[in-house]
Amino acid sequence: MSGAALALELAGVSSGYGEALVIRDIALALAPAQIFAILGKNGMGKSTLLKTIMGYLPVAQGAIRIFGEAVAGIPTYRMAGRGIAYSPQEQALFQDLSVGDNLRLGLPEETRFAREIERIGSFFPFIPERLRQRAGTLSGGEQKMLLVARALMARPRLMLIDEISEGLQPSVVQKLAEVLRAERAASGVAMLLVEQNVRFASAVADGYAVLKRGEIVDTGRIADPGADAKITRELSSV
Amino acid sequence: MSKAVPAVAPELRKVLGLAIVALAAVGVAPFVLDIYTVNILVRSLLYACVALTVDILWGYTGILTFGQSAFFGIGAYACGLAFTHLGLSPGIAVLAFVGGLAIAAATAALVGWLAFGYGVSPIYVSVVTLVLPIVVTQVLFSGGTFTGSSSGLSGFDTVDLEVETWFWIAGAALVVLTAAAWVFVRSDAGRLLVAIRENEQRCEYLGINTALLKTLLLVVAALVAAAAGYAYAAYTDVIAPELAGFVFGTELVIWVALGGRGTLIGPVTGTIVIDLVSAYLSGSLPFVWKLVIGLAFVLVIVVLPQGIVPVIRGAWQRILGRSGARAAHVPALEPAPLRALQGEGGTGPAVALSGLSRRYGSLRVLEGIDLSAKPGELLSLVGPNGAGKTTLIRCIADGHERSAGRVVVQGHDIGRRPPQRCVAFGIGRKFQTANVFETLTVAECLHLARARLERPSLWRRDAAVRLPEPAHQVVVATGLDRQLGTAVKHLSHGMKQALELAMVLALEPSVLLLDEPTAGLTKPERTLIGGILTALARKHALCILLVEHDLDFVREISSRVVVLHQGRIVLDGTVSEVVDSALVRTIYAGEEHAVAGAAS
Amino acid sequence: MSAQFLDIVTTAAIFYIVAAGLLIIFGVMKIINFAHGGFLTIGGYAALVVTELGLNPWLALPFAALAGLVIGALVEHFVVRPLYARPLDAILATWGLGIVIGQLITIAFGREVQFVQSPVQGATAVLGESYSQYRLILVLGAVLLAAALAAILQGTRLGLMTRAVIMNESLARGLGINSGLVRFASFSVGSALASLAGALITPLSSVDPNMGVPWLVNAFMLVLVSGTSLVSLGIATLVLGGAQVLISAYWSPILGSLTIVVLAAVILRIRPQGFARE
Repeated sequence: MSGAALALELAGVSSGYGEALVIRDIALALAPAQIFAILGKNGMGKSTLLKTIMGYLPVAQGAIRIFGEAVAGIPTYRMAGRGIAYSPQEQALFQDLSVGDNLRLGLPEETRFAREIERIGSFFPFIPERLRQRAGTLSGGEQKMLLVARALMARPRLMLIDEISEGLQPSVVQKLAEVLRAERAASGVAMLLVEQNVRFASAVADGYAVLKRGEIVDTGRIADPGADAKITRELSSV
Repeated sequence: MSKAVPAVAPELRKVLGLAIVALAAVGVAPFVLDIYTVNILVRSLLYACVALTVDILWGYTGILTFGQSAFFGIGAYACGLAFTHLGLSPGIAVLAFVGGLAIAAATAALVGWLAFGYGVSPIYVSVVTLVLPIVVTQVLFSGGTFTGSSSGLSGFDTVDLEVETWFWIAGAALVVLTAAAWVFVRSDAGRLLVAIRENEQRCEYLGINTALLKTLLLVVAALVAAAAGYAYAAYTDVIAPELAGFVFGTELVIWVALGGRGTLIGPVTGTIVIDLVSAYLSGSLPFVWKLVIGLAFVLVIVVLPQGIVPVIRGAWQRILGRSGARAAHVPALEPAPLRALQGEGGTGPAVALSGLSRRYGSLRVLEGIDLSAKPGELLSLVGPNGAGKTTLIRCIADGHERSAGRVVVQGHDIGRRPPQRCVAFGIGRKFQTANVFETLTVAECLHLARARLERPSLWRRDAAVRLPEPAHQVVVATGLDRQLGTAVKHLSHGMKQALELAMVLALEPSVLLLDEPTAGLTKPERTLIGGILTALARKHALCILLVEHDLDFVREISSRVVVLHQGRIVLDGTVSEVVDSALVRTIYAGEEHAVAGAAS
Repeated sequence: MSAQFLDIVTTAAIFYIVAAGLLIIFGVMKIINFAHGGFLTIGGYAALVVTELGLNPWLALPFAALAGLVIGALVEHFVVRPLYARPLDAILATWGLGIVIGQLITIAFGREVQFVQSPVQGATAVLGESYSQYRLILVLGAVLLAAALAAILQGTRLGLMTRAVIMNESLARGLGINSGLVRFASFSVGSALASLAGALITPLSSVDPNMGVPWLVNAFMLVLVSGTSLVSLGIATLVLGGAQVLISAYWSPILGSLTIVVLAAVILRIRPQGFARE
């Protein structure tokens, strides 16, 4: 594995449930320390894309490489060990477990726990104080912050995050954007975000792709002039 | 009607021929077989009748039952108790038979009521049928000298018939039952059993009272098992609590699984072979034989879940060089007879909601929804994720769903009625992901959708599927009419969506509930569906409630748009008023807090 | 009165010991192990072997647990694993295994009823009653078992991973937990607990190749009303076991033997989640 390997590379990937393909012919390249947003409305195949990368769904066609290594056939549970942190959109927390236990499950072993919690506390001060609270009793925004915190616990090389900004008030969205950018700057982690919220995506990401009916219809740099308006238009049209 | 006969006759003639051959074999068997074998076979044949009921319940309908032994035991004790305590006379014999069957039927109805009530878990029927034989056995144990307790009753005066006669009775009964079951499972009503196994929810939303049907099936199965038990007691002159027991109940399941669930002939052969061999080996190798059966059962469940007979049949057909696949029965499409539209002439709303709310614990998904829609209106419900759109659809289609408020469909308050009753008021609901019957053919799915309006035949396949014009239009426009014989699982995602829409339209609804009908469809497919929907609203005065994310699609087809946000209606107006409003654009741009401010 | 109280507590303890292994397997794997009765029987015969070898009767416990662990591991690998996606078939296949175990034991030991030496004899005075010492020891055993399981589940990383798999297997896998291994371990441990329970209950009655079946049915119903919670199981065994003791005493022993199955069926009809929270 060379240091120059891409963090994530998808070549002509199609996948779905059984015979029904939900995403078709997806090509993506994500360099280390890059943040990339996949934008699209519900039912366009965004979550399916992340589940395919994680090995929950088999790749029907194409190839996925993570840090230069083909991941076809690698079981989902081995992904964390390869430095990948995945945060699904739904049922992403163990509601009945404590905040601390949820975070513990983000780490491969117990020994680093105290050290990592201290680091997490610098991002989200409320977390170290409320390790014993049941995760399900946190507010919606706090739960989303806990999700990001858990993904950061193991100091991943690649983060896959599904709709973290959904249903949040702008202050929390902004906070999450700051944390993600800070972590990228500090550790060089690459991130693939799945989003509907264009403002959040443009605040965090470097590049974007718009996914529509399972296919990428547009891709570019988010800093390009007029990209925001173009994406918004694409999201609300057929 | 007359056209139905040629389509079905060859199949019927074949089963009739086979039945006559089987009856002849039954007739001859006592003259060729030794008396010991004939003697044992009477019992095996009676067991096979019961195994057949297990196959219909479990193999076809998906109701895993451990309790058919209980009904067998009830029949057997009705006979044994009557003959022991009341003596033997034709009158007593008939009375005991009728009485035993009546108790069995009542018990089965009770099981059905317990197991198929609203919201009861699907596995509960297996729990109740496990408990039932245990209870019956204990009741028999506690009967003292009346039931003979643990040793049962024996040596009572019983019907004096030769072994051969018993053999003929049991054999003929089995042949007739198997043939009848064969005809039944291949009939339109028989397809309904498979549909219930596959997707019971869809059946309910096609207006079919599945709980009642399953209970009826339990009752008929109980009657057959009780009759077999009665014959068993009259023949062997020995009854014991084990006949009603849980172990016998599970043995029946084992025989059915080994033979091949869902094949009728597999369970019948399996039962006869295993019981006969057991009888022969019970003297020499009883434990080893039971061990072999146990091992075979585990192996079959793990490796050959379809059982042994289908494997043998497949091999046989390969040897003969025949393909095992039967040509699918492909009926013709016909227009449905015109029916008077429900609520015709009334000027009232097609659907009216007042004060509707839905809470999950402390979470309020819908709050204070007041909404009414007229016939001919195409009303789109839009709003961000979690706004409560799908929940609202659910509350209109199922009386148990809402926490408070009223839902009136075509002038009928739905109260706490289950989905199939709401369908009867004129509701037709299409789900978000295609909700169809994967193993059935397109024609079978469409036919099932008509089951509410045209009672399916118990013994034949309809030669035609009669569809009302809108459903027919969808079928033809999407090319489903050329795929009538195709199994649904081979259809594309878009075709499945179209099929479900056609099925819902076949219900002849007055209020159509559509949850993202175009999700995952190609652009031409969406245009097509959009055109059909607007025509339905305009020409057929259907009231259509549509959940949709795609604002362009909404703009093209709606006559009115309602915006839901955080469980409340925040906007209600014409397309131009709503879609182009700043509020909606803010919601869709993801700045959702702005909405609350704007709405208040 | 106090005799009845002791009966209720000891009966609940016995049911708790018998059902714990089944509950663990159900919790983690969402399947009912109908070979549970077979594993109880294995434990009973392990105790019989220890008795016949003239060893210390307490040795029956580790011996039985080890037998259950090894056989359970094999069963998980060869029979249960292919049936993850078919829970109803898993019930049937494990029931078939129960038959196989019963027949193998019949062939090896004969089908007659045999007796096992109890590690503790006699009675002791408690609450003004002279009460079977062994039954009282079983209460201690149940408490120790519950405490040990709670300590493992609540206090260790393995327990945390197991709880994660129980609550949301898909999420657990995404976080790097090898849920297949957790399932394998849970089935093996559940089987070991079943055999341990078999060895613990045999001194109260006797062993025969079908001894497990009635226990299986009661344990199955108790697990259904308890969901996946060890606390709910404690409540269920006290309530239903207590009802069994009282009905047997005041009404009839035959009705008493039906108490658990009938009450559990009624409870499940009214409240599908039984004694568990939502």
